[in-house]
Amino acid sequence: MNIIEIENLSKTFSTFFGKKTVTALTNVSLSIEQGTIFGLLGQNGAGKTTLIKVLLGIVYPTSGSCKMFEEDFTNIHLKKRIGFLPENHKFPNYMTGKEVLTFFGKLSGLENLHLTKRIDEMLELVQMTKWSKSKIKTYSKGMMQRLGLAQAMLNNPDLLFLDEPTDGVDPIGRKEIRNVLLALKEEGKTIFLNSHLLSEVELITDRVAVLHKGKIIREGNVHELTDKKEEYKIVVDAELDFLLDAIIKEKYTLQKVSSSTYLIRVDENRTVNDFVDHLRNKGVSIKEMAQEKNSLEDVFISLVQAEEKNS
Amino acid sequence: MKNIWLMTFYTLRESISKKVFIAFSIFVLLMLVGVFFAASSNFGETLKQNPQDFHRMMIFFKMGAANFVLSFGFLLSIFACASFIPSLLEKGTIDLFLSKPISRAQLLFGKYLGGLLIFFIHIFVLICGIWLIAGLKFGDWDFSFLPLLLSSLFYFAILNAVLLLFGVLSKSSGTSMMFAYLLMFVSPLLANRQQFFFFLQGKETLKAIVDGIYYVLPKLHEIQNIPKMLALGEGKIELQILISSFLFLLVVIYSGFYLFEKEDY
Repeated sequence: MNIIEIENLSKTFSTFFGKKTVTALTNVSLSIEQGTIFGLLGQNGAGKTTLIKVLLGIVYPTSGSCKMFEEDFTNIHLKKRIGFLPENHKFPNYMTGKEVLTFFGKLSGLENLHLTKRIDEMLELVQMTKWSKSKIKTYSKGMMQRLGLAQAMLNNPDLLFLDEPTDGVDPIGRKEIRNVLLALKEEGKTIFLNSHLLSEVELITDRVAVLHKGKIIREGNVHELTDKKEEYKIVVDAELDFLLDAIIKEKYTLQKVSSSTYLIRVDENRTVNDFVDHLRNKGVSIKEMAQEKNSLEDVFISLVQAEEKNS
Repeated sequence: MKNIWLMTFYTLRESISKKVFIAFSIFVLLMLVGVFFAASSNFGETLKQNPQDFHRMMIFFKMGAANFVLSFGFLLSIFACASFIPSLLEKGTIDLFLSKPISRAQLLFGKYLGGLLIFFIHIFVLICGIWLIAGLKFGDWDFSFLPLLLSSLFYFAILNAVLLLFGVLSKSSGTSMMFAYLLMFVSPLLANRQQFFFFLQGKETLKAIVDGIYYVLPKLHEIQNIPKMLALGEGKIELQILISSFLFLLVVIYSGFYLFEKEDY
């Protein structure tokens, strides 16, 4: 089941007198499946935050439609099933962490009895129990993010929007947040993630979309995007340069990385089987073999650069 | 309804934390102490010595004391409440609120009521305090003074609506304060426009414009005088004062809500 279905969503911001306009989103169409972690990538100003804000009714779309939980996204009651961690959120700094959660929990429609228990669970989960009675103004950026995450998860949402959730969080904290998100996914929750940290997105997302100047320029499974279909790394126990027959050398391009490690490039219409058979016939022992991958960052940069060239 | 009350108490909490509530409370208490000393002075003795004019003098005493404190109280209340809407609309705050299952109208109305509640608490203490002082010191337990509570609340409801509208429009507490103060100071000028705008004699178009502005804007000056007129049984309260001011209040609040409802954040 698709938990979010966006069709041709556009958003143009205009000044008070309509003299200047800025197009933030252009015909964005996306589907996000239930129980997945979806990553939205893009440069600063690409429209990532605007897209989340449109989905949450904070910004109104200029055109297009959207459904969440198979209902029109403007239905305010849907927000009971949604959690949101905005980028650079500001909690009232005179409140304590626990008071913030109590207030926003009540605003989310949680009843007192259930709320107290839930707050304790969430504080424990983000490891903020110790600081729950301290005023927000004493919190560090990382602590604010943890509390923000607790706030977003408080109503046990089926759909969680996270805008730069690991911003300002140390590496250990980031790993903990990743683990929390993966656990939520296991529970069947859907997570919509905006992040600049592509290496992190790569680690946890199932699908990603690249947004560039308000347009989706690529969307797909993380593995589909990062796999280099025609390139393999192979580690063997011999020097291959003099062992390989000319025929094989013609078929495959071999690049030596180190004394026992090679990169093999295969034509699109060939498999790597012939090469492996050839090595086995020559008595070469294959210690390791793996398909080469691009990092998500490489994919992202090349996509954006290609798009820039085209435009 | 629950959401509106949540926002109202959140606003109350905000004012307490910003020390504005406490400053306002101290001001009211100091004023009450001042009224108490005034009542204990020779002036109090003079009042007691004129039994035939006692009722009238008491009304002047209570109204005078209350209106003196209120004129500062309104200035202080505008200052205290001006930041409520702009602070809600700050980036990073409004996103959090709008992502919750609460309508924009509830959000704004809760904030508006919060401002009114803060004003009401203080004005209640002030007016009841003056009433108690007058009762204890002079044995005057006349209730005709108490409508001042309602008229002051109506007066501030209008000013708070102006803060709401300009808070939504400008997202700046300074700008919204400016317009509320402007309205407060323009009102007595317009009410006494024959004296203040004497130079418009013979300029009928300009005079009509000033008259038009008077009828469109709320009659704050007249509203403040209603309780005195009621207590003394003097003069006739014009219904148009209440109706036009109430209409102004509704239009300003509705405009604020409409703009907030349509705005992207």
